Amino acid sequence: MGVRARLARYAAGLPAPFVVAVPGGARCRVAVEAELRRRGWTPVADPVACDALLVCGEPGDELAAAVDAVWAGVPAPRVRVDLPSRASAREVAAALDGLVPVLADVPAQRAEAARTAAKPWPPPAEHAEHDDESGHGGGGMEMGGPGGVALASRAPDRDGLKLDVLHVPLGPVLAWWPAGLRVAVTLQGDVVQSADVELLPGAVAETFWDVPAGTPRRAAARRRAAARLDALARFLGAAGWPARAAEAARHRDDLLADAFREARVRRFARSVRRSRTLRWMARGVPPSYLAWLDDVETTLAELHEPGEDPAAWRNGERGSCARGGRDAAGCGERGPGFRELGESLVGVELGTARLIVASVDER
Amino acid sequence: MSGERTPVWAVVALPAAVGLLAYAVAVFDAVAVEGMRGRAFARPLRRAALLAVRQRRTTLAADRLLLGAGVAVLPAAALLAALVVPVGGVPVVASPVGIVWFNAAEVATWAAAWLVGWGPNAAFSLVGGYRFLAQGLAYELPHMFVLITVAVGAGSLDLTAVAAAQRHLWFAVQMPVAFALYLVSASALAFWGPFAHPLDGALGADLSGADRLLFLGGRCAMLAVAGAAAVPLFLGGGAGPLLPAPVWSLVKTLAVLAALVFAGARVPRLRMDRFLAAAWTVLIPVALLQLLVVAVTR
Repeated sequence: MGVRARLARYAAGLPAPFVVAVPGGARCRVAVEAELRRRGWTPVADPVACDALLVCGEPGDELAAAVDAVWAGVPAPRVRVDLPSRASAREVAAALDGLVPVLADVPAQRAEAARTAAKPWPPPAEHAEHDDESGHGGGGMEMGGPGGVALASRAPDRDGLKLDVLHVPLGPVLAWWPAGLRVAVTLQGDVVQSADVELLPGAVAETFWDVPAGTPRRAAARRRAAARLDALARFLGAAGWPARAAEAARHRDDLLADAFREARVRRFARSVRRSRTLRWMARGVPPSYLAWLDDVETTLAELHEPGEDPAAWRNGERGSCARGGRDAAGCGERGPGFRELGESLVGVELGTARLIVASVDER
Repeated sequence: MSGERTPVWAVVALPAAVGLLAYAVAVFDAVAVEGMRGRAFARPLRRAALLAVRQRRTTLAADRLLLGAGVAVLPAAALLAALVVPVGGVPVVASPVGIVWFNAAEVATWAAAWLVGWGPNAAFSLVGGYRFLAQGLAYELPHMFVLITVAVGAGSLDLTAVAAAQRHLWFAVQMPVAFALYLVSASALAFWGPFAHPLDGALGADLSGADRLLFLGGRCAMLAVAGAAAVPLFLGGGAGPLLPAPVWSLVKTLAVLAALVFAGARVPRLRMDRFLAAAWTVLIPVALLQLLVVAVTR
């Protein structure tokens, strides 16, 4: 066995997964994330860096095409696993067990590499930069660029400078990003000039976070708090705080499994709320994360209250803003829905745009 | 530079030492971000092994030459910077202008970041390049003033002489503001921890295989060397009781690196578009004030 084969086998012992969230696949995604954490297989932030692409749920046609395009760009050794949205924890574990032998199969992975090397990456149709048709009426595509790719055109930016105009899609396969969301942005430098928002549907509707009538009170409260922690994990990940994002996901899974320590969840909520740096970086972004933290704390408090199932959440008056009432800064304000998202992204820096998207209240 | 005394083994020992320190940084990072579970020591090794054997894919119409130069510059700059850093009082190359050389090698990260941003011919990589240019400029100036402050305090640009000048009191105590600024700006120049904004789905996002390994490894190496340089600059070099000087150098270096990595994981990422104003209006004046205080009291 050569050195390369040995190294490949050694590397296969710690897969680098990338989890593709699909609308309708939240149950599967949560199960996968919990199992990955149990094994210490930390997901990577870029699909190019992964060797295991885990698709959680059944994507619709458009989303499936987007996932295929991303998969085409993943270098070998690689393995792709498509998990059904109803996959149980045991099925997820079995699927992950199956990854390692595939990644460690050096001859097969070499053949895979030879097969994919023939194709350029990303496929030309998916390539990000193309001519700005809107900038020059009737200008169309300019085919003089390198590799047959059209050159970017220029337009004045907000400071009156002539800058390249680039059309790039954000999502739908992106870390810390809502399932199935695609935002076609026009960029000048790192500033979004226009954004078209589109939700690519999954094949099945999302029901995982819904709390059906008749659910026992305690189970309902745990599910709702877990939903908020899931959103918080995404926001904290987008904010570049991976340790805290992992903590939010851990509390989410503990709540779903009814194995949580309330004091720890509260401590987590307090410390995230207290972070001045996070507040500073989130200035100008809808303060959804503060409202979500409130929701988590009030829901935890409900676990101790006797009496009727509080119906506040279901009536759209979610999050009673535990501290300071409705007039407190940021209290009651929620992020834009997906429909208003496009407008709120115009004129912001790309990093801010990611945070705004992560602040969308999906529920 | 007077290199006539450099022993031959140093040519092998230096990359090995920098590589081991970079590995230590990667282990600290794995523990700080992912926790102690699993084998934290093996995780960076397995990841490096994957990148080493991995297929290399490039983006469409990528500039291979510039991209290759960019990913190679980062580890190379770390090695060049490490040349003048004394370990236990003895650098590989004893230079009377070691601080200037060290800083010049660090500035090469600018070229690396920009080339890696430009090379893949991809929009997000380019955005990462923009972010680092802004960040680099905002942090290189305070970094430079801090190094000048140290040189003024010691009356020498030679790192060995700087360490010797702290016989009675460490510069970390004499000029605490400069020490803090050094740690912040060193993290920023290695785009580490809260200063990783250039990397956020941008810089290096299109790299695969050996390119990625060199780039990310080079980044660990850059932080490692900046941490190692903090020891002669602020922590008295290899001076310490009982243990021999090289051991003290190593212990102090690992302490600085652990502090940088673990403190970095406790703070969310700083977005450069927002943080730049603070960098310019606070850090640079503070750095100049510290320089003034050291120059007057010396």
